[in-house]
Amino acid sequence: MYGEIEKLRIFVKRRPAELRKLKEEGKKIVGYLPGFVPEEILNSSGAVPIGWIRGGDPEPVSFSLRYVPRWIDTYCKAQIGYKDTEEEIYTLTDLLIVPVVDANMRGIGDVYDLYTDMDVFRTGYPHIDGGPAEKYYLTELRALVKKLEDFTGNTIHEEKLREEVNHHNEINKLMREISLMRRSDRVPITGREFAFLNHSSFIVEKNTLRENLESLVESLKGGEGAKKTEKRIFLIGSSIAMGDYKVYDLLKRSGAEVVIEDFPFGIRPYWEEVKINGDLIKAIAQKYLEKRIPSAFQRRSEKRIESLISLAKEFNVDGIVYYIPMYQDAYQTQFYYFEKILREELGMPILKLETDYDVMEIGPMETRIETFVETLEGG
Amino acid sequence: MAVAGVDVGAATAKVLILESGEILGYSITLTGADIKKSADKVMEQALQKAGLSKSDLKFTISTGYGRNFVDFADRSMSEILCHARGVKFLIPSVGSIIDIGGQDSKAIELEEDGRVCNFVMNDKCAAGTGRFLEVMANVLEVGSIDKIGPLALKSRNHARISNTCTIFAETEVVSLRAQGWNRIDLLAGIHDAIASRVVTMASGIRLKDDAVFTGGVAKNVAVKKALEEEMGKKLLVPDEPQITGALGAALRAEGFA
Amino acid sequence: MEELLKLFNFSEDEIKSEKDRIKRAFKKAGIDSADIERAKLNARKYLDLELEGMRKIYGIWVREFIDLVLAGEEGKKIVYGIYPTFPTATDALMVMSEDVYVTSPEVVLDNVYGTLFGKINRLLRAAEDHGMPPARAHCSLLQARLGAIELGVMPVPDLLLATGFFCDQAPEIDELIHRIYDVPVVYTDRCMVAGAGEWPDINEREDVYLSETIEEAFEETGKIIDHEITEGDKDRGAGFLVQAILAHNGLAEYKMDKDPCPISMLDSYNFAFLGCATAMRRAYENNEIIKAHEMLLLEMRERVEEGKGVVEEGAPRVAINIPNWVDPSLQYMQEKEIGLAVPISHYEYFIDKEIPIVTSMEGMSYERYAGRVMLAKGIFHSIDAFIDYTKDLVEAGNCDGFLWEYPFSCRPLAITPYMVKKVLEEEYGIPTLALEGDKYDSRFYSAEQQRTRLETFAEILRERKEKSWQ
Repeated sequence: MYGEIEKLRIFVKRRPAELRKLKEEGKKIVGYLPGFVPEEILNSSGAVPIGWIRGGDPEPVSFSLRYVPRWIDTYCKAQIGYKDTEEEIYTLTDLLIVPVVDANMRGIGDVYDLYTDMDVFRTGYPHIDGGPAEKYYLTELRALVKKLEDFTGNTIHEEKLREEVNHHNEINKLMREISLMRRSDRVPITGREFAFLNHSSFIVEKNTLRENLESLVESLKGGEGAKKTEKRIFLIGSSIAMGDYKVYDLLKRSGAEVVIEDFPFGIRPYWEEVKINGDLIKAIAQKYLEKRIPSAFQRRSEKRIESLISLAKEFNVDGIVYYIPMYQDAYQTQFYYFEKILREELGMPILKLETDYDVMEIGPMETRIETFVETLEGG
Repeated sequence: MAVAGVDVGAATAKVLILESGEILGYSITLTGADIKKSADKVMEQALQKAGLSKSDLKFTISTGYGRNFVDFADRSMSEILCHARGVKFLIPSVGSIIDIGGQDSKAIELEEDGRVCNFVMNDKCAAGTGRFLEVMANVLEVGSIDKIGPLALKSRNHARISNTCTIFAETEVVSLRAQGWNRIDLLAGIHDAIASRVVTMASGIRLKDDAVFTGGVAKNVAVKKALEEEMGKKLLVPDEPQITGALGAALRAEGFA
Repeated sequence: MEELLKLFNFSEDEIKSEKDRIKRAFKKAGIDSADIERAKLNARKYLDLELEGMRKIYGIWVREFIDLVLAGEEGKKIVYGIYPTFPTATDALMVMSEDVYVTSPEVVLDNVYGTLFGKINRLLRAAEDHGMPPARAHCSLLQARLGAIELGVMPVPDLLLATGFFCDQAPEIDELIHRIYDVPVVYTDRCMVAGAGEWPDINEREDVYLSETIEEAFEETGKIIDHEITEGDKDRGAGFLVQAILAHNGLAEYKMDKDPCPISMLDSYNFAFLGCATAMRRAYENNEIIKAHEMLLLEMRERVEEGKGVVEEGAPRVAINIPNWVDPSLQYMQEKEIGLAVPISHYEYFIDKEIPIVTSMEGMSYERYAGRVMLAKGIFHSIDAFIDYTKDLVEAGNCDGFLWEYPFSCRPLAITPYMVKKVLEEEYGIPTLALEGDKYDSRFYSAEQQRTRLETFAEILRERKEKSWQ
């Protein structure tokens, strides 16, 4: 375990107390579902952003059943259920930004809107490419800017925005650098650790985060902690929450390791930076909309599937684990043809796992993972 | 002239004989596989206790899951309003009812005058019903289901059963037992689990005072305590909490007699 | 077969000239003599065949079903819209050319293959084996769409016109069909970002985006099916849609506050759906919808004058979202066995606030109009609007409560029941039953489970009515 990761763990633990203090000092806390909401804009408003990224526990899911029926994406149910827990990143939030990528996400906004005093702002994220989508997303981001300005009483100045863009570009660059190190057959960081790094990036104060990432990159380059990885896994899904590490642990127990992953909720879209050239908002819109691997929330699947196949080759994976919450229809539906295409193009085995954050899933999941890993060729 | 209420639930069948607002007698039996047979049997038993014969009955209303299979009933009516009526008779200050039966559970909200204004039901899932407790009593080899409540109350360290599904919870309990948890603490955890499930269901209504607990499971002191802790509210339990449906049906039968 | 067709006003001549075609269609759809017997029984028991207007309407549905099954053999370009659909878009495509066959097929299937013949489940099972597995709350309406293509009950189309302005599953399934069958898809898009307090105003950002995607979709569609969609086509299409809306709205307005309720919701809804859920050349070209409407209105008036209804006078009245459709025994249970009057539903009635939006293009582009027609509907606007719209509906229909029988597999609707119930009851004092069900799949919910809850709700409403009269 690297010292930096341990430090970040501590910072994550401390963050609620920090938020409480900031709130007492008059700061506004803006919660957001990370991945589709530009942090650059949130940070430049002077509000304190906090990612709603917890999950994996059964209790919030069972609390959520007071507000919604069970037939909702589990990760979204968890976000709803945290309302009734002591998790302060939820209860301290003043304004919630909900990217309406699907009806499940929209549900989170509706519940908090009705049952709490929290201010809820829904922001659209187009599901298709093309001129109208680009234009629309731009209007959405401008509306987000206005909302934040009204909410905080601060104007979002160009210079501040530029500063935040540079900062987050740097964070993403560092994350990318760390990620790409895993292409080697001696992988310096485990999948679980990498996931946690991403999770902490949505929680920890941004300068602290950056310092630790910079230091970590250096430590990783040293190569001391690198381990030869025989059974290399590509983990794909819609959301990987902070606290939902069971699949990582079970894979490890079976002798496999996640060397690359794709999750729009939970892992930063670190592949590209915001290219600062003229209109900053436009540049941010471009990065968040186009310059990333499309999620399965996007209607057309070609670009996404090609990107995933390319990534699988680049990272030399031996098998794919498709890990999704129950009732996540976009990812459920895509699995059917994704699996077929994968077999045709890569001849690679794929294991589908579904979760409702239920403790009893672990037993059957372990058996399936063990069996799957045994069938992999590798090493 | 006397009237009768017949409540045929999935687990038990109950008959209550009433005359001018006075309970003359009642009986409870297991429903089993033959609804008609058990309805006949429990009617006979209740009549015996009341010292009456069938011809003395002016009107009979059947309610509960098996209500449409009671040949001798003059009319069948659904059970929510029957329960409400029965409880209101026994405890006039009732504001809400939690009923946990053998295979279903309900939460009912009443107006001041006793009319039902809201209700929620769970009849799809065994968790949150008497069945859940039966399964667990079996797994832990406690013997009689009547014992589990007092045993559970003895625990000083409740086990946490995280599963919402009866089937998986059963496996979880077996696994916890193997890890060394003692039966009393496991029983306490099981009681917490059923209470939690029921309270989640009941969040669809307002739990107004006085909150009354009925159904066969209301005889279980540990479930009562767990519910009270979960709800933050005291629960009243009628002396015979299983007959409220049959009582309500009989009271409604008086309206037709 | 003849007997069945005659129930729906097929004339002797038509039966004679169409016999082979109909037989071919039935064979292709796997409809045998047992199914036909069942259809006759279902029709006689559940459909109000006393109403001449409804016999016409059911006849139109049956003819459309036959056209759908045989569309692949008749040399036309086939375009499938999807429900919830853009009737404006599909209507314009429909009028464009005789060589283009446009419909929202799952709606047609549910009504005829489902309600009448009781054969929907085989389509659902086929879909479950091919990409929409059970126990994942996949939309059963869309399972019918996929399953019907899998089993060859309906042809593989030349183009899918995907929506996604309200639900995600619809365009997701179209992408699945594209990947399996290599069918081109044209996507429209919108994000439901309207917040509390915005209704009845339409969110400008959503409106513009949706309309621009519709514009591009129209262009692409024209290229793929090799037919240009002219402004004339759009005008005519819009004209038909307005015709349909005014027709069913007019009927809804007439019957919704009458006691006893003169028409079952199953029938009334079938009429509304004809115009709004699917493009139907036949229904428009010979003014069939207008004729059916006029006939039905006359028949409703007669019933009202005679004090005749489908439920008794004074029965508790509930507004609903959409009725139980594919399994008509559930709607029958509600109205005939439990005695609930169901005078009005979300989908068949545009309230005052919406009518100017849906019937007038007001100098906007067709595409802008096409999007607004859908955004204007409360249920498609936001949860806030859904609630507000429901309250207006309950008032308009003089209802005692709202029966929110939500389809568990429809994600945008499945989020809402507890929230809708809470606000309707606490803020507006409207008793609401949140009843979990599935409109298109009869396998997941037993009538008995529904019966207990519905009976109780009916009794609660009756008692309230009695109390308010005291």
